[in-house]
Amino acid sequence: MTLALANILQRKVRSLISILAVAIGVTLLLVLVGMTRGSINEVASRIQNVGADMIVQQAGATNFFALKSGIIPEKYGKMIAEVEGVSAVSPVVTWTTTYRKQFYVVYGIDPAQFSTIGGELKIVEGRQLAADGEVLIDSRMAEATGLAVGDSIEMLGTTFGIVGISKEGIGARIFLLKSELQSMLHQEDRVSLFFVRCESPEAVKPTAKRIEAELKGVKCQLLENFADEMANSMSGLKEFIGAVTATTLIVSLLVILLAMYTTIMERTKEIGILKSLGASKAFIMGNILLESVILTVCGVVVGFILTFAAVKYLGLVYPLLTIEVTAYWIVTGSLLGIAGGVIGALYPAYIAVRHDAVEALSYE
Amino acid sequence: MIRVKDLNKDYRTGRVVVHALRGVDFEVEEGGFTAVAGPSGCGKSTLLYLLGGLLKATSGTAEIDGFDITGASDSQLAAFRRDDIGFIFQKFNLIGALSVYDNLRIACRIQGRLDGARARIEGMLERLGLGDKRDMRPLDLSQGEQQRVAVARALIKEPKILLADEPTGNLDSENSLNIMKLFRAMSSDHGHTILMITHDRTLASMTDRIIEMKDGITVGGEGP
Repeated sequence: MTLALANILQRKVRSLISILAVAIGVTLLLVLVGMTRGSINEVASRIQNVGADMIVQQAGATNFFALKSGIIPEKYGKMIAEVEGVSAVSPVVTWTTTYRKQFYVVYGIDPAQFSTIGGELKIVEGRQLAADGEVLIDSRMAEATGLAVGDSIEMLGTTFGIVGISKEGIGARIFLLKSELQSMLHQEDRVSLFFVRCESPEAVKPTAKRIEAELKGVKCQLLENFADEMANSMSGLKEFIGAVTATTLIVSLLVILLAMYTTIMERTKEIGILKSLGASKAFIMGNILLESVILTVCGVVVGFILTFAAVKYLGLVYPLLTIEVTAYWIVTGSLLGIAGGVIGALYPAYIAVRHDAVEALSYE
Repeated sequence: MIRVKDLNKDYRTGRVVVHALRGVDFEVEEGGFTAVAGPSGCGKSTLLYLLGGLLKATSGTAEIDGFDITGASDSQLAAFRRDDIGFIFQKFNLIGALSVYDNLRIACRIQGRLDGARARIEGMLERLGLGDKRDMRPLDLSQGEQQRVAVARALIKEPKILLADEPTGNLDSENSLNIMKLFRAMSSDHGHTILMITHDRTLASMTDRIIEMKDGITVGGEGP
């Protein structure tokens, strides 16, 4: 057995605490970033699945357009449809609601127009919207809440009847008629955004320029790479992820620094013995770094196990929450944990090789 | 061969300078079993650590088989300890986290001689009557057994010189005698050069030669 492994096994409590601390750092990173990225990507994916090439919305609006109600005149829809390169336009009113403490985005749509842009809602149960007082919910919401066709749902101060379950992954989780949502919001002639489909992929960018030129005060958001653009436009998101990443590195570094520093102090005599046997500085440093790498690798592995347990648990408690633990972040979390461990062990290793051999041998 | 000439070692603590060695001179022939005897604080251990390359001399020269210890760099001294010196300490200085076998194996690993190490280690443990102790931890052994493990660890390196610092200081009389017999056999039968520090006149008299020290200098001795 190697000296590094023997020392880890001999000081089980210290080793276990070090491993757990690194694991918690890695878990925090993977879960928090996974939740952030997962939510953004899930929303972006649903919007991309509508089938449009771009969204036309009020200039200056953030990509959290879903949180805004109608602010663009609905008549712009006809003007956009006449712009060269546009093949279909679908106006949408967006709003939000809370049902059983869960936040939902609501789309007010015209089903016929919505289907022209390619985002036809596939009804897996029940039927399409036809009248006021009716809503569609998507299959994921139905599964999470147990709601079914024929049930009623209280939202926006009104009771709606569920007439259909749509396949998940397109637009919002709750749909009702645009005209009804406009009326409820007292925004009869306004919409939140237009989904726009172009005649060809090549026509998207020039068409967007033409729309922005012809309609002052609107901006076109292309849906290609929408998730990345959405993430980039969210103020503080990068800083948040950076802070979580730095926390992982620092926690790992400090834990290993403390663990290895105390162990080096405990093992002063052992270092003297190694020196008396002729061990080089590289040999002694190598053993200390190997010990820290073993601890951090174990911490990273335990961190993965905790992460997948946390994802499973959160999935059960919050069935609509999407957490994406990607290979990129698994590798990043691993490297950060190990890097923190190695950096944290460098100073104790430096202290170790500087120990006076004779003093170390007489250390009790 | 060990050749020590006008060897001095000063320790400085603040403004106080302690002259631990003050011009030590002696020579030891290859294969001899030599005791360095003297009262506590006379500089015996300092001399041993200097010869083993764990301390640096203030002045003078000390050569082992032509290698000048006093002029060597840290890395040269580490290599010298690794290849040419086997230390045996009063407090055994075994690594508690490792088994008896692994205490010997780490010495082989430091030397970079892991080829055939298992057979050599097992042979050495058998030779010193420790064959059935190979998987035990040092603290589970008697003190006599621990010191035999320390001797085995020193011998597994096949060093030119064994430097023993009060090797029987923590042992009872029976175990002390056993260790002395072992040293005697290593010197007579295997040709090891042994330099042993002791303040025990009886033990010193069991060696081929005694170098007497007092107040940091050699003051004579017995034997060839």
